[in-house]
Amino acid sequence: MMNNILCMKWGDKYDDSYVEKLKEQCEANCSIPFKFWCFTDKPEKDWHIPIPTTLDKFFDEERGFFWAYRKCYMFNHGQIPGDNSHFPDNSKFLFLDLDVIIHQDLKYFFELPNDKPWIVRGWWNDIHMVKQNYAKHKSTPLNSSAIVWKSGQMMPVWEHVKKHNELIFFTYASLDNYFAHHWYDPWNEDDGFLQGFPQGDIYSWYKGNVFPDDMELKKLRLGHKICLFNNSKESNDVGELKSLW
Amino acid sequence: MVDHIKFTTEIAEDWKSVLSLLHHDEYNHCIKRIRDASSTSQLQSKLWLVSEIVNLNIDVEKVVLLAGWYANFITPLLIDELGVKYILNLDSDPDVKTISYKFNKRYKIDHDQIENQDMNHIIRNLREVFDVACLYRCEIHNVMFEPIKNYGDFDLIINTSCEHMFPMSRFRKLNRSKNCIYVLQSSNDRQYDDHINCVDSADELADQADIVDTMYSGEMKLSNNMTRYMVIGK
Repeated sequence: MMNNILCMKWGDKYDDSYVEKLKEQCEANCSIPFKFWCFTDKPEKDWHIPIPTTLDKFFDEERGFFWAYRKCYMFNHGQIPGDNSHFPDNSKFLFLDLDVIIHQDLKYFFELPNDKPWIVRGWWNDIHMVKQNYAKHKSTPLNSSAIVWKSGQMMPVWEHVKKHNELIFFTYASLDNYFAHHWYDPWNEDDGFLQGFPQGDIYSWYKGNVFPDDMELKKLRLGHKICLFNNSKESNDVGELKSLW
Repeated sequence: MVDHIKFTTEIAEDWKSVLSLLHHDEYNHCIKRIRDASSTSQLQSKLWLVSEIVNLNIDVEKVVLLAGWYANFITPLLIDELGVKYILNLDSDPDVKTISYKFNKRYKIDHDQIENQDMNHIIRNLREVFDVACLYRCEIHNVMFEPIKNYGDFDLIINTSCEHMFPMSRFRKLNRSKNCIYVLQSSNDRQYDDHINCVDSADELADQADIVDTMYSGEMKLSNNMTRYMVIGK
């Protein structure tokens, strides 16, 4: 079983230093063997994987949605048994966004039960608001900044996006919102295709930890595994993130 | 012109049970949505819809509501003004099933009560079998992703939520065998994030749905200042 840590970089929002820093953090905080890979639109190194472009033509940037659809390519690339491009069969995958701070040993994520894929459940969300705004496609309870799966396990998601790309990109405001509607069930959180990392694993620098009891913002929680810095308002202060590297 | 809902003792009983439901913490989050679904503009748009169907003298027995939300106004109007016998509401919001069944409890039917039965036969014998004027059924179903063929045939397909979804041409491609009348409403009000497909005219709405035989086309300014467009046709 090969352990893989994946990240993804495209465009100019983050420069190469973010990828290098994430790689450094992983090497310093993972006590079991792993390979680090970066899906990128500018592949230069042997651990770089070119990002496909097949979905580009279906995504209409003018609609103003921030849609990280490129993440979906990870769920397909090298995931079919016998397709050993980069990953052998029976691999495990941990995807991380570039703007995370790792506090604890990442071994934990590779040792989670793998009956279902794992994704960040934003425990800082008020579940009442999640349900109230479900039909409005707001207050999404999931966050795709960290995802864990085993080979082929996310293939149904890829197939669904591939089949309904135009409809999906038109309808949902983000990848996370799409996940929440098709692959998760906020009413029965144990029943979805995706399961959320437990409380205490991952928190948000800009949104808090667990609603309503631990919602202090911009507070380090070193007992947690990972801190997320992404913010849907796109008002991230990269200086704050860099000061914590 | 239809300008009111018949507020019967049965409706009073059912609508009261919705209010009772909201006392449960589990349904607290629905209060705002129920208030929104009970607004003046919601009623205006449904009265308009039913009035125009009455004017067209369309014979309707079986209706499917696409994204019909709680169907609190449309259900009694369709039954009392048009004599509709069967209403199926398909919505992707899991809360809709519980709440719309409360609003329309007097007509509620579950899937297992009609499974494998001929719907036309049931409709012909409604009074004898169920002792009601109409049957109301609700299912959680995203109509843009999955066809509705398993639910049977309908005379009328009503979608008053077109601004919330992909153009209706996709639904028609998914459900090619449906040779029934479409009643569609949308708006030009782009201030809401979930209004992902607003239009600026009834013609644009008709184009989006590949309507070629237009029986009615019009617009109405609602009490909330939103301009609503409606198309009826095939």
